[in-house]
Amino acid sequence: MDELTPSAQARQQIIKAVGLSFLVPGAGHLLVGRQIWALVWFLGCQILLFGGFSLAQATQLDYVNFRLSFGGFDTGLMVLIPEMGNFLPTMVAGKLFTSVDFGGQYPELVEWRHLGFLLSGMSGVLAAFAASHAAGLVLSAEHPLQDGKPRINPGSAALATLVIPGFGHWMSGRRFKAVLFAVAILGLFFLGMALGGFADFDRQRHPYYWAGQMLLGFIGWGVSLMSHPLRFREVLAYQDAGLLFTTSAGLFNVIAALDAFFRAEQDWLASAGVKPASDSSKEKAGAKPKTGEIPQ
Amino acid sequence: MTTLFGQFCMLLIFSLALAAVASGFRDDDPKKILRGIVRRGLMFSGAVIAIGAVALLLDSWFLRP
Repeated sequence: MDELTPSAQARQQIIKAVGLSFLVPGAGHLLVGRQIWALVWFLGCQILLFGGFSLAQATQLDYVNFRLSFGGFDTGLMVLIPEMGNFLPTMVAGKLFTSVDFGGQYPELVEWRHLGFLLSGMSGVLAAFAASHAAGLVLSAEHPLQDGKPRINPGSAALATLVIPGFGHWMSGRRFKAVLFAVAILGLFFLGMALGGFADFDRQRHPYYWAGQMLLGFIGWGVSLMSHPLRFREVLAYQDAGLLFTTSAGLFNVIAALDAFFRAEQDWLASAGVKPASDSSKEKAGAKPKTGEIPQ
Repeated sequence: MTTLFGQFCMLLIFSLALAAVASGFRDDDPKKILRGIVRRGLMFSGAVIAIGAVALLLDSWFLRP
């Protein structure tokens, strides 16, 4: 089947909405006049980010991978994954807060540090998905449905993947793919957790792997909360494989979300009466030339 | 302590999961997806085993002091 593509104007609007959402979650929703959604995304992500920084006493800043400075002048821009999905507010938080670790305090003594990491990480992941939600709303505004069939918005399909891997496909009527993604991704994640003794979802121990694990969404976040008190007591035979499995599961979930968005977008465009590009080019080629026009 | 069989099982599980996600992303038809899982799973695990075999060969011959 030929791919359906949104109109050039819709594509431009989608790029704007995604760009704005990455800077500040909710800003993309304002483009299509969805003020309530804009407020929900903005407040939700900022409460999580600043709440997380407060709970962890800004020890998130111990994991900054890179700071951008010119000739000794600190621009304030930094790379902190996954928080920087919520880009500008994270940069502001980086300026406002100072990690207690820099003051000589042991970060292990911060009681709610784990929950703080989880909340600020969630803000970054959710902010990235806010961009897909905004893109879906722009698409639906530019291409309203015409056939009266109930269709799931592509942004909501992507967001549903964050709730349960495959759920976005389920909502768009692709039951086989939904079960396939859920079994493959959740199976890999839980096997990985078991191989690591349920103790390998830990930012301090594996900050890079943790960023990937966070992409699994609500199920991963719940498991992280529940398994927080567990610690490695011995070297487990396959704990490295376990770490690879859990992180890969998170990354695979992003692929599932992208696919859920794409398939739901195709359904939406078909219901909106958009024709494949090849059809419209055939129509153009088959059109009779006007009087005095030389056929190409 | 890991065993060769254990490592093989890990590779097989990871290959299947990777193949399932890749095939699900590429295709929308269940039959095509199932065929894709087998093909991609075998290709990935085969490639890893081949690279492992070459590494083992180099280790036992070229890189050994």
